[in-house]
Amino acid sequence: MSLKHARRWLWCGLSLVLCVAFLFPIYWMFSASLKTDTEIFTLPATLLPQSPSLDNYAEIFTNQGNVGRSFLNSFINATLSMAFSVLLSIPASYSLARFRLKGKKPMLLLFLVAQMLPPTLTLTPLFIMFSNVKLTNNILSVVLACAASSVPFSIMIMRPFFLSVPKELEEAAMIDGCSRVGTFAKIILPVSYTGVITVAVFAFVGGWNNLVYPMTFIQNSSTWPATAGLYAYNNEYGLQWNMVMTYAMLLMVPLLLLFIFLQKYMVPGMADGAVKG
Amino acid sequence: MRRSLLNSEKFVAYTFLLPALLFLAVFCLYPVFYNFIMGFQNMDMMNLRSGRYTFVGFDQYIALFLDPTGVFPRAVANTFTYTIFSIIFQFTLGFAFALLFAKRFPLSGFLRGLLMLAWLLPHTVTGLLGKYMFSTTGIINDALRALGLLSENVGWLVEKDSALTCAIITNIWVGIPYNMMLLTTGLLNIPGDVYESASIDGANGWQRFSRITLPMLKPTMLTVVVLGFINTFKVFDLIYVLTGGGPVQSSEVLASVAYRYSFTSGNFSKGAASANILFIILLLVSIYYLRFVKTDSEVM
Repeated sequence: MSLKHARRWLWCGLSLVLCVAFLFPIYWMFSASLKTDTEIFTLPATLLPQSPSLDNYAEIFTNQGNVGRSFLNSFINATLSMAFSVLLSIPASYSLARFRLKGKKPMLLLFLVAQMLPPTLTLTPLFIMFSNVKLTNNILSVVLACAASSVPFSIMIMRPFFLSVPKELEEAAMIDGCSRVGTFAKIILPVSYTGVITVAVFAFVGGWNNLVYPMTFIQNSSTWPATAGLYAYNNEYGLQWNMVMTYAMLLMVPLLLLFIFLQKYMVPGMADGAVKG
Repeated sequence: MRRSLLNSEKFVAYTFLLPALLFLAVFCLYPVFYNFIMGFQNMDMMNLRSGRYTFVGFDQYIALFLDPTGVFPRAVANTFTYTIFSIIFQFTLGFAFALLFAKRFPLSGFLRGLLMLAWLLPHTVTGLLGKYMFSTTGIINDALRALGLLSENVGWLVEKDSALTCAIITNIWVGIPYNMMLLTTGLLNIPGDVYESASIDGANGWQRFSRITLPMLKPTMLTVVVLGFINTFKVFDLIYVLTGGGPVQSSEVLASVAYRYSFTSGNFSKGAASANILFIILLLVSIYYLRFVKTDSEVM
């Protein structure tokens, strides 16, 4: 028994070492963000910042470009594309899980294929479409494109959740006089909330992380989300790694928060969506 | 009346489904179709507005392969190299991590979750982080010199021979946690009593691994590899940010080449043709995957 106990602590120690080594690049980004302009050019680089300070975080918002604005744009884009994908995919996946529909199989096949579309494939047509309706340079173009890439994925993740709700639950509610829509809203959605959160988080992260759509559709730097802003910032201040890494750290913070609070919804969702197609 | 509509199965089924279908028809299906047509035309930034572009058959596709700079065939080869090496290492290292994290020990869930950060990071951030670490004055040069493996700093990202390798290493880092997570889930789904009865029958550790773990994990392993292929093969952001396809187009991949044709040279049709080739390869892999999923579970 004590041997088994010792072994568990050995594994714990081993994986701690592994994690530290594996996540070193993230530490390196953080440590760069705490360094001064002089220290960042010191060779060889200092493993621990000599006089760590958060000055870069203050400076990046005041000095150059539209950094604050870019984060606001990122939030707008991520939130709206999340709203679009949740509102479109939740009812659709319920319909595909519960009802007898004509052409259900080809539709599922379509979503499965749509899920793997490379963004570069639809990029040029979307660019032409959006410029025809004067939507380029508008964050809405990015929102729509991001939603289009997350809806198929969301449907495929959400359908198994609805399939697993026992039919008897709905039938009981309907016998009690609840309409179908009422049953969906009052009975089905509350019991499948984990799936809804999973879908929402993935759509948010998809919008937050996207670079190629804003880079293509938006020329105006004050409309850029933070990914495009960071890319342009690096092109301009490429050697000032302390500032570039500060910007990058800021881009990671919301993801870190999401992950700390919603990890239990993300991990099973990811495995489910992947394994069940 | 209203009540009966809300109760009609057909009405509810189609009202729930239609908005998503219409949305995808406009923003997914139509663009794919549009791109397919564009690949057979000679549309560019100049003639887009005037509409003076025509059908040219397979000319764009032929031109891609006859390009005097040879960038397109190189991009095809790079995409395969990038994908295959990424997957081999992501999978084996992810598997090793999964074997460790499927064990029960203090903090295992927390640490496993922490590793996922690498996967969650925007590729823009990962790409820039790689650029910082691989740079001529970066920490990787420092580390290699400290170990005595290098006498002079190397510009890993600006050397033709190493730029793509840097991208592969960066992508392996991103992919390990993803592979680990899916494989851990698969490992935890193997019922514990199978191992127990094997132990009672006298099976040693290696026998339990090769006779129970591997066969029972096979469906998960295949899924992980195929999904890894699909996600890696369409890489754009990471390459675009890390190497920009350079130096001298030496690390260009299919997606980045398609982007450059369309939006740097303004040759929409050539970009479309490149993207279509990327899509066809992905489609073939997906069809293979679907056939496997279909026979293996009740997904449909």
